[in-house]
Amino acid sequence: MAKWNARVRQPGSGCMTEAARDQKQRLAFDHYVVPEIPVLYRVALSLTGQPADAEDLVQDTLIRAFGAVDRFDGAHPRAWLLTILRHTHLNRVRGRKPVLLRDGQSVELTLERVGKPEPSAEEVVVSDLFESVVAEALAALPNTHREVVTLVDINGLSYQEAADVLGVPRGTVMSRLHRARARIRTRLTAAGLAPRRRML
Amino acid sequence: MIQSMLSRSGCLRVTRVLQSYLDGEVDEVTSGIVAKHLEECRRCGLEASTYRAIKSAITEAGPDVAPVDAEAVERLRRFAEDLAEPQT
Repeated sequence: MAKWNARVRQPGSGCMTEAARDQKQRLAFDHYVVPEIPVLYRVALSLTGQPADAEDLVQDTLIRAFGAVDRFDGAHPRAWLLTILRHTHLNRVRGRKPVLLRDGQSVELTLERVGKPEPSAEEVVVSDLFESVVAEALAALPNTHREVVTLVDINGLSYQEAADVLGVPRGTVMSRLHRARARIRTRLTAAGLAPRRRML
Repeated sequence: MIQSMLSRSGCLRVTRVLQSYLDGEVDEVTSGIVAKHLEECRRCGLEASTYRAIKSAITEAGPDVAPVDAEAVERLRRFAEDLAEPQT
Protein backbone atom coordinates (compact mmCIF):
# COMPACT_ATOMS: atom_id res chain seq x y z
CA MET A 1 0.00 0.00 0.00
CA ALA A 2 1.23 3.46 -0.77
CA LYS A 3 2.19 5.31 2.30
CA TRP A 4 -0.91 7.44 2.48
CA ASN A 5 0.59 9.53 5.26
CA ALA A 6 3.26 10.62 2.82
CA ARG A 7 0.57 12.26 0.69
CA VAL A 8 -0.71 14.35 3.54
CA ARG A 9 2.73 15.07 4.95
CA GLN A 10 3.62 18.55 3.91
CA PRO A 11 7.01 20.04 3.18
CA GLY A 12 8.46 21.49 6.32
CA SER A 13 6.26 19.30 8.48
CA GLY A 14 8.40 20.22 11.45
CA CYS A 15 6.71 23.60 11.27
CA MET A 16 3.24 22.11 10.78
CA THR A 17 0.66 24.00 12.74
CA GLU A 18 -1.42 22.29 15.37
CA ALA A 19 -4.50 22.66 13.18
CA ALA A 20 -2.70 21.00 10.28
CA ARG A 21 -1.59 18.13 12.53
CA ASP A 22 -5.15 17.65 13.75
CA GLN A 23 -6.38 17.64 10.17
CA LYS A 24 -3.78 15.05 9.20
CA GLN A 25 -4.74 12.91 12.19
CA ARG A 26 -8.42 13.01 11.25
CA LEU A 27 -7.74 12.17 7.61
CA ALA A 28 -5.49 9.26 8.54
CA PHE A 29 -8.09 8.00 11.02
CA ASP A 30 -10.84 8.13 8.38
CA HIS A 31 -8.61 6.46 5.83
CA TYR A 32 -7.03 3.66 7.87
CA VAL A 33 -9.29 3.03 10.83
CA VAL A 34 -12.94 3.65 9.99
CA PRO A 35 -13.12 1.11 7.11
CA GLU A 36 -11.91 -1.61 9.51
CA ILE A 37 -14.65 -1.10 12.11
CA PRO A 38 -16.77 -4.11 10.99
CA VAL A 39 -13.73 -6.40 11.16
CA LEU A 40 -12.73 -4.99 14.53
CA TYR A 41 -16.22 -5.60 15.84
CA ARG A 42 -16.34 -9.18 14.59
CA VAL A 43 -12.96 -9.97 16.09
CA ALA A 44 -13.91 -8.22 19.34
CA LEU A 45 -17.03 -10.36 19.45
CA SER A 46 -14.89 -13.45 19.01
CA LEU A 47 -12.61 -12.37 21.84
CA THR A 48 -15.25 -11.27 24.32
CA GLY A 49 -18.23 -13.47 23.41
CA GLN A 50 -20.57 -10.63 24.42
CA PRO A 51 -21.92 -7.93 22.07
CA ALA A 52 -21.84 -5.18 24.70
CA ASP A 53 -18.27 -6.04 25.71
CA ALA A 54 -17.28 -6.19 22.04
CA GLU A 55 -18.66 -2.72 21.41
CA ASP A 56 -16.85 -1.31 24.45
CA LEU A 57 -13.65 -3.01 23.35
CA VAL A 58 -13.86 -1.53 19.86
CA GLN A 59 -14.59 1.93 21.30
CA ASP A 60 -11.47 1.71 23.48
CA THR A 61 -9.52 0.47 20.47
CA LEU A 62 -10.74 3.39 18.36
CA ILE A 63 -9.69 5.86 21.05
CA ARG A 64 -6.21 4.35 21.18
CA ALA A 65 -5.95 4.18 17.41
CA PHE A 66 -6.99 7.82 17.09
CA GLY A 67 -4.27 8.82 19.53
CA ALA A 68 -1.63 6.83 17.67
CA VAL A 69 -2.66 7.20 14.02
CA ASP A 70 -0.39 10.19 13.37
CA ARG A 71 2.59 7.93 14.17
CA PHE A 72 1.31 5.03 12.04
CA ASP A 73 3.39 4.49 8.91
CA GLY A 74 0.47 3.35 6.74
CA ALA A 75 1.64 -0.23 6.24
CA HIS A 76 -0.86 -3.01 7.07
CA PRO A 77 -3.52 -0.99 8.87
CA ARG A 78 -5.60 -4.03 9.75
CA ALA A 79 -2.67 -5.77 11.41
CA TRP A 80 -1.84 -2.56 13.27
CA LEU A 81 -5.43 -2.18 14.47
CA LEU A 82 -5.76 -5.83 15.46
CA THR A 83 -2.62 -5.51 17.56
CA ILE A 84 -4.12 -2.48 19.32
CA LEU A 85 -7.35 -4.43 19.78
CA ARG A 86 -5.48 -7.34 21.35
CA HIS A 87 -3.53 -5.11 23.75
CA THR A 88 -6.70 -3.27 24.69
CA HIS A 89 -8.51 -6.55 25.27
CA LEU A 90 -5.70 -7.89 27.44
CA ASN A 91 -5.74 -4.71 29.51
CA ARG A 92 -9.48 -4.93 29.93
CA VAL A 93 -9.72 -8.55 31.00
CA ARG A 94 -6.49 -8.45 33.04
CA GLY A 95 -5.35 -11.94 32.32
CA ARG A 96 -8.73 -13.60 31.87
CA LYS A 97 -8.67 -15.94 28.90
CA PRO A 98 -10.86 -14.97 25.96
CA VAL A 99 -13.90 -17.15 25.43
CA LEU A 100 -15.45 -17.73 22.04
CA LEU A 101 -18.40 -19.86 23.01
CA ARG A 102 -19.77 -20.75 26.39
CA ASP A 103 -18.95 -24.34 27.37
CA GLY A 104 -21.50 -26.75 26.06
CA GLN A 105 -23.03 -24.15 23.81
CA SER A 106 -24.09 -25.74 20.58
CA VAL A 107 -24.40 -24.12 17.24
CA GLU A 108 -27.60 -24.36 15.24
CA LEU A 109 -27.16 -24.33 11.53
CA THR A 110 -29.39 -23.07 8.81
CA LEU A 111 -29.17 -24.18 5.25
CA GLU A 112 -29.54 -21.47 2.67
CA ARG A 113 -28.57 -21.85 -0.93
CA VAL A 114 -29.17 -18.94 -3.22
CA GLY A 115 -28.59 -19.15 -6.93
CA LYS A 116 -27.82 -22.86 -6.90
CA PRO A 117 -29.85 -25.71 -8.39
CA GLU A 118 -32.48 -27.06 -6.02
CA PRO A 119 -30.83 -29.94 -4.12
CA SER A 120 -32.58 -33.28 -3.83
CA ALA A 121 -34.12 -34.33 -0.52
CA GLU A 122 -31.24 -36.76 0.03
CA GLU A 123 -28.67 -34.06 -0.69
CA VAL A 124 -30.36 -31.73 1.78
CA VAL A 125 -30.34 -34.39 4.50
CA VAL A 126 -26.68 -35.29 3.91
CA SER A 127 -25.64 -31.65 3.67
CA ASP A 128 -27.61 -30.74 6.78
CA LEU A 129 -26.06 -33.65 8.64
CA PHE A 130 -22.57 -32.70 7.42
CA GLU A 131 -22.98 -29.14 8.65
CA SER A 132 -24.46 -30.28 11.95
CA VAL A 133 -21.48 -32.55 12.60
CA VAL A 134 -19.09 -29.73 11.69
CA ALA A 135 -20.90 -27.35 14.05
CA GLU A 136 -20.83 -29.85 16.90
CA ALA A 137 -17.15 -30.59 16.26
CA LEU A 138 -16.46 -26.86 16.19
CA ALA A 139 -18.19 -26.36 19.54
CA ALA A 140 -16.22 -29.27 21.02
CA LEU A 141 -12.81 -27.88 20.05
CA PRO A 142 -10.50 -26.51 22.74
CA ASN A 143 -10.87 -22.74 23.01
CA THR A 144 -7.38 -22.11 21.63
CA HIS A 145 -8.26 -24.04 18.48
CA ARG A 146 -11.79 -22.72 18.10
CA GLU A 147 -10.71 -19.10 18.36
CA VAL A 148 -8.27 -19.58 15.48
CA VAL A 149 -10.94 -21.25 13.34
CA THR A 150 -13.33 -18.41 14.14
CA LEU A 151 -10.82 -15.72 13.26
CA VAL A 152 -9.72 -17.30 9.98
CA ASP A 153 -12.74 -19.18 8.63
CA ILE A 154 -15.54 -17.01 9.98
CA ASN A 155 -14.01 -13.57 10.32
CA GLY A 156 -11.84 -14.00 7.24
CA LEU A 157 -8.54 -12.96 8.78
CA SER A 158 -5.25 -14.07 7.27
CA TYR A 159 -2.92 -16.29 9.31
CA GLN A 160 -0.77 -13.26 10.13
CA GLU A 161 -3.75 -11.13 11.14
CA ALA A 162 -5.01 -13.90 13.43
CA ALA A 163 -1.51 -14.17 14.87
CA ASP A 164 -1.54 -10.42 15.56
CA VAL A 165 -4.87 -10.69 17.36
CA LEU A 166 -3.78 -13.62 19.50
CA GLY A 167 -0.20 -12.49 20.06
CA VAL A 168 1.23 -15.81 18.87
CA PRO A 169 3.53 -16.69 15.95
CA ARG A 170 1.97 -17.28 12.53
CA GLY A 171 3.13 -20.91 12.70
CA THR A 172 1.09 -21.43 15.86
CA VAL A 173 -2.03 -20.13 14.13
CA MET A 174 -1.35 -22.47 11.23
CA SER A 175 -0.82 -25.57 13.36
CA ARG A 176 -3.86 -24.90 15.58
CA LEU A 177 -6.05 -24.25 12.57
CA HIS A 178 -4.91 -27.31 10.69
CA ARG A 179 -5.26 -29.53 13.76
CA ALA A 180 -8.72 -28.11 14.43
CA ARG A 181 -9.91 -28.92 10.93
CA ALA A 182 -8.31 -32.36 11.14
CA ARG A 183 -10.33 -32.99 14.33
CA ILE A 184 -13.49 -31.90 12.57
CA ARG A 185 -12.62 -34.18 9.71
CA THR A 186 -12.11 -37.11 12.10
CA ARG A 187 -15.65 -36.58 13.42
CA LEU A 188 -17.01 -36.45 9.90
CA THR A 189 -15.21 -39.68 9.03
CA ALA A 190 -16.61 -41.36 12.14
CA ALA A 191 -20.10 -40.26 11.03
CA GLY A 192 -19.48 -41.72 7.57
CA LEU A 193 -19.61 -38.25 5.99
CA ALA A 194 -15.98 -37.97 4.88
CA PRO A 195 -13.49 -40.44 3.41
CA ARG A 196 -10.90 -41.99 5.70
CA ARG A 197 -7.60 -40.17 5.76
CA ARG A 198 -5.27 -41.94 3.41
CA MET A 199 -1.90 -43.21 4.59
CA LEU A 200 1.07 -42.10 2.55
CA MET B 1 7.07 -48.38 -9.52
CA ILE B 2 9.23 -45.24 -9.80
CA GLN B 3 6.22 -43.37 -11.15
CA SER B 4 4.20 -44.46 -8.14
CA MET B 5 6.96 -43.38 -5.72
CA LEU B 6 7.23 -40.00 -7.44
CA SER B 7 3.48 -39.61 -7.26
CA ARG B 8 3.42 -40.49 -3.55
CA SER B 9 6.20 -38.00 -2.93
CA GLY B 10 4.11 -35.34 -4.70
CA CYS B 11 1.07 -36.32 -2.64
CA LEU B 12 3.08 -35.99 0.57
CA ARG B 13 4.28 -32.51 -0.35
CA VAL B 14 0.79 -31.42 -1.36
CA THR B 15 -0.74 -32.84 1.82
CA ARG B 16 1.67 -30.73 3.88
CA VAL B 17 0.53 -27.48 2.28
CA LEU B 18 -3.02 -28.37 1.31
CA GLN B 19 -4.83 -26.39 4.01
CA SER B 20 -2.58 -23.36 3.56
CA TYR B 21 -3.29 -23.60 -0.18
CA LEU B 22 -7.05 -23.69 0.41
CA ASP B 23 -6.70 -20.65 2.68
CA GLY B 24 -4.79 -18.75 -0.01
CA GLU B 25 -1.70 -18.64 2.20
CA VAL B 26 0.90 -20.09 -0.18
CA ASP B 27 2.97 -18.30 -2.77
CA GLU B 28 2.05 -18.26 -6.44
CA VAL B 29 4.53 -20.94 -7.47
CA THR B 30 3.40 -23.36 -4.77
CA SER B 31 -0.21 -22.60 -5.58
CA GLY B 32 0.36 -23.53 -9.22
CA ILE B 33 2.08 -26.79 -8.30
CA VAL B 34 -0.68 -27.79 -5.88
CA ALA B 35 -3.46 -26.86 -8.32
CA LYS B 36 -1.86 -28.98 -11.05
CA HIS B 37 -1.39 -31.93 -8.69
CA LEU B 38 -5.00 -31.74 -7.52
CA GLU B 39 -6.18 -31.94 -11.11
CA GLU B 40 -4.08 -35.04 -11.75
CA CYS B 41 -4.40 -36.94 -8.46
CA ARG B 42 -7.87 -38.18 -7.63
CA ARG B 43 -7.04 -39.01 -3.99
CA CYS B 44 -5.54 -35.58 -3.29
CA GLY B 45 -8.42 -33.99 -5.16
CA LEU B 46 -10.83 -35.81 -2.86
CA GLU B 47 -8.82 -34.68 0.16
CA ALA B 48 -9.03 -31.07 -1.06
CA SER B 49 -12.78 -31.40 -1.62
CA THR B 50 -13.22 -32.67 1.93
CA TYR B 51 -11.37 -29.72 3.45
CA ARG B 52 -13.17 -27.27 1.17
CA ALA B 53 -16.49 -28.66 2.40
CA ILE B 54 -15.35 -28.39 6.03
CA LYS B 55 -14.21 -24.80 5.54
CA SER B 56 -17.47 -23.96 3.82
CA ALA B 57 -19.54 -25.56 6.60
CA ILE B 58 -17.59 -23.62 9.23
CA THR B 59 -18.26 -20.41 7.35
CA GLU B 60 -21.97 -21.33 7.19
CA ALA B 61 -21.90 -21.66 10.97
CA GLY B 62 -20.43 -18.16 11.16
CA PRO B 63 -23.51 -16.06 11.80
CA ASP B 64 -24.38 -18.27 14.75
CA VAL B 65 -20.88 -18.30 16.16
CA ALA B 66 -20.21 -14.62 15.69
CA PRO B 67 -23.34 -12.69 14.80
CA VAL B 68 -22.63 -9.17 13.65
CA ASP B 69 -25.05 -6.54 14.76
CA ALA B 70 -25.30 -3.95 11.98
CA GLU B 71 -26.63 -1.40 14.45
CA ALA B 72 -23.62 -1.91 16.70
CA VAL B 73 -21.30 -1.35 13.73
CA GLU B 74 -23.23 1.81 12.85
CA ARG B 75 -22.98 3.06 16.44
CA LEU B 76 -19.24 2.46 16.31
CA ARG B 77 -18.97 4.40 13.04
CA ARG B 78 -20.75 7.33 14.66
CA PHE B 79 -18.48 7.02 17.68
CA ALA B 80 -15.48 7.18 15.34
CA GLU B 81 -16.93 10.24 13.59
CA ASP B 82 -17.41 12.00 16.92
CA LEU B 83 -13.89 11.05 17.93
CA ALA B 84 -12.44 12.61 14.80
CA GLU B 85 -14.69 15.67 14.99
CA PRO B 86 -12.62 18.86 15.41
CA GLN B 87 -12.79 20.07 19.00
CA THR B 88 -14.36 23.50 19.32
